[in-house]
Formats: sequence, structure tokens, C-alpha cells
Amino acid sequence: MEAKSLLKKDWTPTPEAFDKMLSWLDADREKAGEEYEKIRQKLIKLFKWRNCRPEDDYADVTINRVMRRISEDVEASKDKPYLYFHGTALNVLREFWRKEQKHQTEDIENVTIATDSPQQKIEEDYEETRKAAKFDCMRNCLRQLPDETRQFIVRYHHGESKKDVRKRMAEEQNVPLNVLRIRACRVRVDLEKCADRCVAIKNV
Amino acid sequence: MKLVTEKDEMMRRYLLDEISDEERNSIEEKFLADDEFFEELDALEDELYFDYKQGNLSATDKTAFEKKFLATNADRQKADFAEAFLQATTEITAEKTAPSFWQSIVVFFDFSNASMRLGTAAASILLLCLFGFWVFRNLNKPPEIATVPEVPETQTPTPTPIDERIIEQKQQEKDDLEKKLEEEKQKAEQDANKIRDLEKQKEKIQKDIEKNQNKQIAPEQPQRTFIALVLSPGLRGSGAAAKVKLTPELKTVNLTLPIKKEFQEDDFKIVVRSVGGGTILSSNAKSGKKTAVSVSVPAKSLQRGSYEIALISSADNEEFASYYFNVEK
Repeated sequence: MEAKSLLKKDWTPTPEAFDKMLSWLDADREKAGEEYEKIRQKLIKLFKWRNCRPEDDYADVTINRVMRRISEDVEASKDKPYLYFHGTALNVLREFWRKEQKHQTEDIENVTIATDSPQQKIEEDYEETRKAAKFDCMRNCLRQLPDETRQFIVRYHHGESKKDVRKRMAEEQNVPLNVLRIRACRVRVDLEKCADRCVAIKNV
Repeated sequence: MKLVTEKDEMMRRYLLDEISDEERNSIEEKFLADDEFFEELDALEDELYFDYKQGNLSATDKTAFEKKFLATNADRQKADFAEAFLQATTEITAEKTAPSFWQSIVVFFDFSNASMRLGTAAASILLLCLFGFWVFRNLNKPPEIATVPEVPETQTPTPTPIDERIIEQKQQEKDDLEKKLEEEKQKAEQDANKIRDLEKQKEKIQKDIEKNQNKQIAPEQPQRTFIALVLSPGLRGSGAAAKVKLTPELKTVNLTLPIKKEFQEDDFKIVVRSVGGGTILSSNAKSGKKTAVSVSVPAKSLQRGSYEIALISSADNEEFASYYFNVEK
């Protein structure tokens, strides 16, 4: 289902509306911009975690709706703008579910069974090549990490009882488990970027 | 130290859709307001891909995960990343735990093993017996006297003048060789010093490379800044173009492009290019009704000058909208 079908047809974002929304988020334009980007990222995740895909489109629909309301001087609390975004996102979600339900009923008779095709085989082979390249790149990226970081991430993910290992690591580093988890996630994000760059260079 | 397991559990249930609507709303309100909580949730989602690939999810969680987190191509690539990561780190763990040659020998002679202890004792007794037998045999044997052939008197090695010359000659050769040997030794020592210096240089360069490589994948600083602008479609020079000021901190320029009603149904391509210059960025917009589209341009790809964003119809390759902005330093 298209996310844009949830938008009012007679309204398009304007520079003025966008500016107004930014001013509503923060008087300092730089801070407002940062806040806007953060809210967008969070909304994208919210829609993903609510099984509403493609999540970027629904996040944009939500932002456009908020932008429209703000431009129309609808009263919205300046203290907690995120609550306003959340309320709007929930409305978008409800509309998505209603339309999704309708689509499912319509589509139920048009179920097709996927069969193996030569094209599929080519795609599978390509996927295998890409996976192998990614593994090679990952190995190189891991070796490029400082020893301490590499030992940290390997220890975090391996071992018989991960729960115990992580608890011990948190105690050794004197940090709560959630901090340890965020650290591990940051290392993985950097590794993923490194591996993606490497795969792109390999031109797979 | 607080170990937040209860919170973990709640977040995990949120991600796997095992939570009431009320709890769900409260979690969402919390992560929209609290950046750290959002980051934790994001990290936990990321970890689920690893738990999935390591087979650590229950059957119910596995089904929920597959339905929710493997739905799109991007999701599947995330799972592939987790697989590659686990494979590579397993390899590293195996390398680290592989025993050295001596460790292998120690492991081979595992004396904690009873049968190995017995075997070793038997082998020792056998060796002792063989040695005893050899000693006994050698003690009872008549002494072997080396037989030297008798040398006739005429062959007594008294040096003749010719022999003396030969001896002198050989002595000279010996001296020369010793000298040469000394020279070669000195040369070898100099070479060894050179090798040591070169190795030191190599190590230094290697360290520099590693330092630079580590810099490449060092975690990004949280000082990410960007500019967000909405551009109006129009002709170049027809009005005041939006301005973007480049600063060292600026990383992303987010541009929202409103689309005229008559083109909202079209599929199109977004091309960002410098006026009279090359293409900076090109991407396909998803099909469907769009009243506006956003494009993020990395600041590092921009320089001072005028830029144009063109929307090109996928149907007929015709440019149907242009937007302009200027970059200043």
C-alpha cells in the first residue's frame, strides 16, 4: 500500500511551512534542524517496529501532517513536540491498518505461488558472491580494529553463556549492561560501514 | 551496579510484538523523548539479528522475528551482515585458541589420562632395558684396537724443502681466508644493522597505516550537524536561490522538494548536479503519489558554487522540475 495515499491531496509542503515547523521545534535554527533529523530517525524506527513498511514513507507522511498543522496555526505544545509527532504517527498507523486490512481481503483471491526461475537462480548466485565478498571484507575490517576493540566485540558475541560473559564484562568495565550493549552496537555499525565500503570497492 | 534486565525484557517484548498496547505507547513516548533509551532499543534490535543467526531465539520469537525483521531487502542485508560478522569473529576466536607447537606436544602427552600414564611407563621400562642390554654387551666385548698400517721408514713424514714451501703456501692461504672471513663478518654485521633499521622503519610505517585505518573506522562523533531546506521549483536566476553555508562541522544537507500536482503520479529520478558541472548524486524515487520528496546530500561532495536538482521522469526521460541552491563557504 502506498504511504502517500494517506496524504491530503490538496496540500504540499512549502518552505514557509517547513520553516514554521523548525521554529516550533526550537528557536535556534541549527538546533531545530538537529531535532528534526532526530525525530525523523525515531519515526522511521517507530514505523518499522510497528510493521508499517516502507517505514521512511510513513515517517515522511507523519512529518508532512505535523508541518501542515503547524502551518495552519493549530495549537500544539511547544514543550513536548515529540508527543505531537507520536499522536500523529498513531493516526497514520490506524489509517495504515484500516487500508491494509481492506487490501488483504481484496488480495486473498489473487495469491500466486512463486516458482524457481532462471532469473531467481542468477539472483541467488549473485547473493552468494556478495555474501562471500562481505565475509572477506568483514574479516579485514575486524583485523583493522584496535586490538582492545576487537577483543571486546569478539568476547561480547562469543562464549557459551553470553549472559554471564556480558555480566562479567559489565562488572569489569564498571558500566551497566545497556551501556555495554550500546558500545557493542557502535562497534558493529562502524564495522558494517567499513564492510560496505570494502564491498563497494570490490564492485560486487 | 544496575543490570537493567527487566527493562531489557520489556524492550525485547516490544520489538517482538509481545506487549500490550498501553505498554507499547509508553515505550514509544519514552524513546521519542529520550535519545539514550532510543539508542538502547536500536542496539537491542540490532542484537536480535545476531541472536537469530546464532539460533538463540525461541521458536515463537524466531517466527515473530522473521515476520517483522526480515521483511525487506534491507532487513535481509542486515541479517547477512550479522552472519558475516559471526563467521569472521568465530574464525578469529579459533585462531586465538589454536594451540602452539609446544602446547600441541603437551596436549599429545596428556598425563592426566590414565592410559597415557600407563603407556608412558611401559615405554620408559622398554627404553631402560634396551640401554642396559647395550651397556652389558659393550662391557663383555674384547676391546677393539685400531689397526694402523705399518708405515715404511722411507715414508716418515720429515719435511722436505718442497713440503715447507707447500706449508708456507697453505699458511698464507689460511691467513687470507681468515682475513676474508673477518671482512665478511663485518659486512654481515653492517647488513644486519641495515636490516634492523629497515625493519624499524617498516614497523613505523605499518603503525601509521593501522592508525589511519583505525581512524577510518573510528566511531563517528556525535557532533553531526546538517542543514534542512525546502526548495521551490523554478528557473535558475528567477528568484533568490536558497543558500547553504559550508562549515567544517556540516555533514549533510537535507533538501525537501515539493512536487507540482500534475507530476505527482510519476516515477522519477532525482539528479543533483553543479550548474555547468558534474553530477553529485543520482537516485530513483519510489513510485506513487508524492507531494514532496527529500534528498540528503553529503556536505563533503559540495563546493562553493551553484547547484541544480532535476527531477527526471522515468517514463520519457524528460526533466519536469528543477530546483536551485547556492553553496557558500
